[in-house]
Amino acid sequence: MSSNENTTTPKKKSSPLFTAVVLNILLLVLAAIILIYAFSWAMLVVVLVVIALIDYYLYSNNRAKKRLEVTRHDDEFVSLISYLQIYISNGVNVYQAFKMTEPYLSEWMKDKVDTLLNDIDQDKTVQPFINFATNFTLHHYEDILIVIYQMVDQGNNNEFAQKFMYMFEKINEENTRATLESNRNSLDMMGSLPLIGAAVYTVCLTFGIISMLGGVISVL
Amino acid sequence: MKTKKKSKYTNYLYYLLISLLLALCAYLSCNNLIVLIGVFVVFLFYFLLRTQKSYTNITKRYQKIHFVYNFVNNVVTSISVYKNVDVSVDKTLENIDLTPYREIGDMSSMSGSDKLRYLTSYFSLPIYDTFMNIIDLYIENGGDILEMTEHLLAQLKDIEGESISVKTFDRSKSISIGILWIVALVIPVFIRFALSDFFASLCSSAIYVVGIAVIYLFLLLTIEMITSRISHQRIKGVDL
Repeated sequence: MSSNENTTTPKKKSSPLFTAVVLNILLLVLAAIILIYAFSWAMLVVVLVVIALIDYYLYSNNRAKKRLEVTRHDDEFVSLISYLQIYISNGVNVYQAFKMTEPYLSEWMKDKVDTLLNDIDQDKTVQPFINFATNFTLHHYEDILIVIYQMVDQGNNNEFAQKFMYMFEKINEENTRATLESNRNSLDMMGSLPLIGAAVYTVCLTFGIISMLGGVISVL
Repeated sequence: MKTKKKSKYTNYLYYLLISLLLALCAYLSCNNLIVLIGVFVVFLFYFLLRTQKSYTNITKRYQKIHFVYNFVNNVVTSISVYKNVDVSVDKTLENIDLTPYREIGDMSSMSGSDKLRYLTSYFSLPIYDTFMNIIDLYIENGGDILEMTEHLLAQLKDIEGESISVKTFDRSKSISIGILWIVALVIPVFIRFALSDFFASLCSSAIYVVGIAVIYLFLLLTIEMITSRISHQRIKGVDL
């Protein structure tokens, strides 16, 4: 059997701290230019609020990325099981099927699968599979891994294969639903941004009118 | 070639038009030339350098998914009929217009199975690599190709369904957010005409002018956030 090389390349990640520092420096320079051109206490407040909002966005984005990484590990597990399902249904044994899925896995998952396969070589109990399951947040992943252990221990017989297929279908359906919902929620939140823009305009309009009225009153 | 160039230049025209409209809107909102020029230049460069790239990547991604879905289904069906991989691949490719897939290159001198292997580098999809492994199994051991690819085809169908669903939702959401932004940006223009003489005095207030600039910066940030979310949406079986 030929093995196809993994042609999906990992994405290069920039340091979030570096991005935050560079962006803050740029904002401070821009703020300095604006304040030199038109200094007022209200302007200073606006500038500081804008910088604070951008920093908050960067911070919450960083936290969201960490949560996303955990979700991606769970999603990748479902992808791994779906490839296992394809190979197992074609008569490939479980150990070999894990090996064949390695080119499609991220570095993190490849490392965990390698650990699992090494542990299987030394420990023929269910423990390596349970240890592998602890890398994911969803507890029912452990159940499908136990079925996979039973297939390794007692052979790919029909009963376990059917149990495996059934459990995979359930996990796959739930995962697809959760992924679509998460995609929709993230874009739904963006719908409030135009309203925030309109609110910012209203605040600026109010400040502008007040500063004008202040000028008129002082003349009177 | 003409179709692709026309599409690219049409996009550039749209970017220019949208940048002009935004700049005009910004100018009408605050009567400030610096804001007009700043909005036009920033948005035009953003659209040319970032949006065009994202748009191309997103379009190619969905194009590949549709192509792999149709291609694999047709190849499997052909193999089940002709029982020969080379003949089946050639028959399938005869019925596909490869003009939109310029990156594929010339495969005329290759055999059917070599063409399948060559397409691995074009697709760069884990699901296609899995398909190739099953084809290798079929070539080595024979068997019923429909049975062997049953789960693979089911997964491909899921991927295709998910990608259509995601693409449709992304498009409708982007349009609705775009409409909301149009309304938000048009409000200052209406206020200009409503306040008339008073508006000229308002535009002399630096905080008002900076506020308008901040709104457009916020708009740019929104476009970037949406583009980034859509570009990085994960489709199972396609992305790691």
